[in-house]
Amino acid sequence: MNNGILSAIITGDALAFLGAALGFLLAGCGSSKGVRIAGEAASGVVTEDPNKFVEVMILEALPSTQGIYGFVAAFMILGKIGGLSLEQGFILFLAGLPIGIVGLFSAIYQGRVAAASIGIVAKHSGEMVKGVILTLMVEVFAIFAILISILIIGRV
Amino acid sequence: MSVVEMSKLTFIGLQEDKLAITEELMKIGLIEVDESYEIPGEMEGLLKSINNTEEIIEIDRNLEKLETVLSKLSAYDKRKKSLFSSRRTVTAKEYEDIRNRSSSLMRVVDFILEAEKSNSQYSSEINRLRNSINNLLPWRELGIPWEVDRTKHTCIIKGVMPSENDFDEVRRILYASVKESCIELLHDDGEQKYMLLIIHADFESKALEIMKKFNFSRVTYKELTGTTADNINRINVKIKELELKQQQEARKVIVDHVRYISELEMLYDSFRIIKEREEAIKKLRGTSRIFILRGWLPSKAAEKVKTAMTSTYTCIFELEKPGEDEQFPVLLDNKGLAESVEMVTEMYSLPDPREIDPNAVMAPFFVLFFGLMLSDAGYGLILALSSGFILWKFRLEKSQKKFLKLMFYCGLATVFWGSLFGSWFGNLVYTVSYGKYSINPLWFDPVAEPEKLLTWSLAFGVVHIYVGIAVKAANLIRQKKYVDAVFDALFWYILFTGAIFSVLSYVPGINTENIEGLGEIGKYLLIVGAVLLILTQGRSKKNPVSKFFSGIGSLYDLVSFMSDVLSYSRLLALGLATSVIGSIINQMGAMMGLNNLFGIFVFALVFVFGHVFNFLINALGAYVHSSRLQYIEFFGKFYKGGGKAFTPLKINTKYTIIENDKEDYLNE
Repeated sequence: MNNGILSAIITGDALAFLGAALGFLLAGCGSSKGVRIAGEAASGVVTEDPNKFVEVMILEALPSTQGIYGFVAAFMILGKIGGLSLEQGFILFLAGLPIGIVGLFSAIYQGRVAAASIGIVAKHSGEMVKGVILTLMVEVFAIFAILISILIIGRV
Repeated sequence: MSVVEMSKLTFIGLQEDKLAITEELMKIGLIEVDESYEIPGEMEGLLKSINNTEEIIEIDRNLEKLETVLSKLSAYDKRKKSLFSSRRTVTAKEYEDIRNRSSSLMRVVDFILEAEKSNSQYSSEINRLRNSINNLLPWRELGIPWEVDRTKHTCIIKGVMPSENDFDEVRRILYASVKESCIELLHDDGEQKYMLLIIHADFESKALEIMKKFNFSRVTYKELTGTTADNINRINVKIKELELKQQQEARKVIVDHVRYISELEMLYDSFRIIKEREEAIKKLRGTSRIFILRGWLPSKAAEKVKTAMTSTYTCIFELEKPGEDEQFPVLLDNKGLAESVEMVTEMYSLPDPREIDPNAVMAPFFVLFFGLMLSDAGYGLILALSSGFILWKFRLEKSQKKFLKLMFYCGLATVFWGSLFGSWFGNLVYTVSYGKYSINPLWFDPVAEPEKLLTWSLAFGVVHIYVGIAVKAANLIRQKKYVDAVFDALFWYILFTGAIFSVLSYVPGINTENIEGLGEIGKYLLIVGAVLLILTQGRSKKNPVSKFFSGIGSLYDLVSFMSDVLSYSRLLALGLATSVIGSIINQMGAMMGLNNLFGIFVFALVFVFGHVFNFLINALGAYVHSSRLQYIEFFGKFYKGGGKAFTPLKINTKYTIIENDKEDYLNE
């Protein structure tokens, strides 16, 4: 391997780009899968009773927040780019990981809880808020993850 | 400001006044009829329950009919509806009128139901015909009339075989053994191949023998004459005819009767009232001359209700205080902010009748936490203005009103926090002025100093939890358990405060110089608190060893206290997310520049959609997470809950509000 090329590629900025990309990539994948899981359950309920559309739609939307958090983290990292040192770049790369990885898993798991909560709505109309509360219990970990990501970004 | 005190009521009236009295009580709407009777020994056998199951079943049947008819009619209903559907007000006289006409109106209902029945018969007949067309469609290539199944020398066979057979292969095999045959593929729907076979009459059985190997089966429609196309046309004509008839006969009846809808709605409500009345009567006991009603009513309204009843009817109206441990139904009486958060508490559980109603204490926390998590003054302004506008302009049901009031207060709290943090639709002013101007935060900018807000969030959490412990102490003092209040509240304060002082120097953003010495004090408090708790928390146990160990075990609550406090970091995270996403939306909108028309158009588009989305998702998050902080971190410290809601006998209508000349005995 040519050392010259390697050191040209691995710059602070490039590492930060990598962090931003990973942060959104993983969280976005997680959210899309989570929303898919909830969405399948939701369309099942709407087939039976179209009047429940709004209730199940709210539940379906819940696992999308991880993607948004990933987006926020990525945007904040991108805002730092421009002549970063190797160390700063590496820190920003690390900053992308918490929301990326926790977002990936929590979105999928949250999607499952959302799908189960859609089951609540299917049987008992008007119990939607309880389902939302149960679903948002999973959200907490994604919130902590974006918190940590933001705190790390703040250090650069 | 609390759980309303209830009195136990024993009411004795004359049988002949029974209907009038129950209706009167429904209008007053303050008495819950209790079914659990303790009948004194000497009266047992004298008092019988009233059997009106038949009547209730009859009413239910009428209600069901009306429901069906109303749902049919409402599809054609052309009355103007308000955005927030509220019930119409009708006068008592109008209502009386409907009641008197109920049997003639029920005849209208039956007539509509009859029409609806023939309507659905037409529909099912039309469906059946459509299905038969679907069955014929694969045969539309068949030009030979269906009744023709042989000529002088050939026989004509229509049939199907499973699609996995290869048609060319089948044809090759058939032609190889029966040369005098012709096979034709008409249609293949992926499951079956539809085929026409023409065979010389002499070889019919031989050919069929071969075809059998391919699971060929004959298809005959005995009732069909003419070609497939003829038949499909004929059925289509018939469907048209039926549809026309349906339109003219059945639908017309429904459309013609739409004018009855408001009367039928009133009739529906009147049946509901009668049902409520009969169900209350079912809970009464009585002899042939008198009846007894037992129940609950709010103590402060009791005297007025008593005067109202005893002055009109011959009756006995006796009130008692509930027994020491007796559970009574829970009615909350709060004003202003505390009233508006009642629905948040109700979602969790109503308070136990003997504990402090948490709404007044919880309300400011709920609203402030909501505001901190939504944290954008622009969003807060929109929330407060829109909910205020709806409250001012529209007539609303009580629960809608409560919710909108809550949103109004939450909006104000959001404006408060948003202006402290300098977030107005994200960084709108900064973006639009190309960085020349910006609205400065009144306190500090959390995006620049997240650690500072984190520290504050945790501090708010500590305050919240401490208040929770204080409510617990207040509850214990109310029950005159003063020693428990010291052991279960004060000692925990000592321990928790010690723990907080000890870890203070590790909290980011705290200047260690300012808190010198606190860590030392913290250590002592921690030790003193721990010793006191070990000594007291096992006091319910008999054995000294298990006393000691449950005392030690209780110290584990320190861990859950710490995790409870950390849970408040969501205040920062959600708050930050709103303003950061808001700023990102502004930046993205401004990408096309703001010095040309197209750029401004793009900006407006992105601005509106982006901020609406951000507002909705974060307002939902703020509401739910603020609720959660109350349910788990706050209520967990003191709240018993499990109260049974006060469900008085009252007029409970769906479509109309009947003007009530009764004064409000509860509030004045």
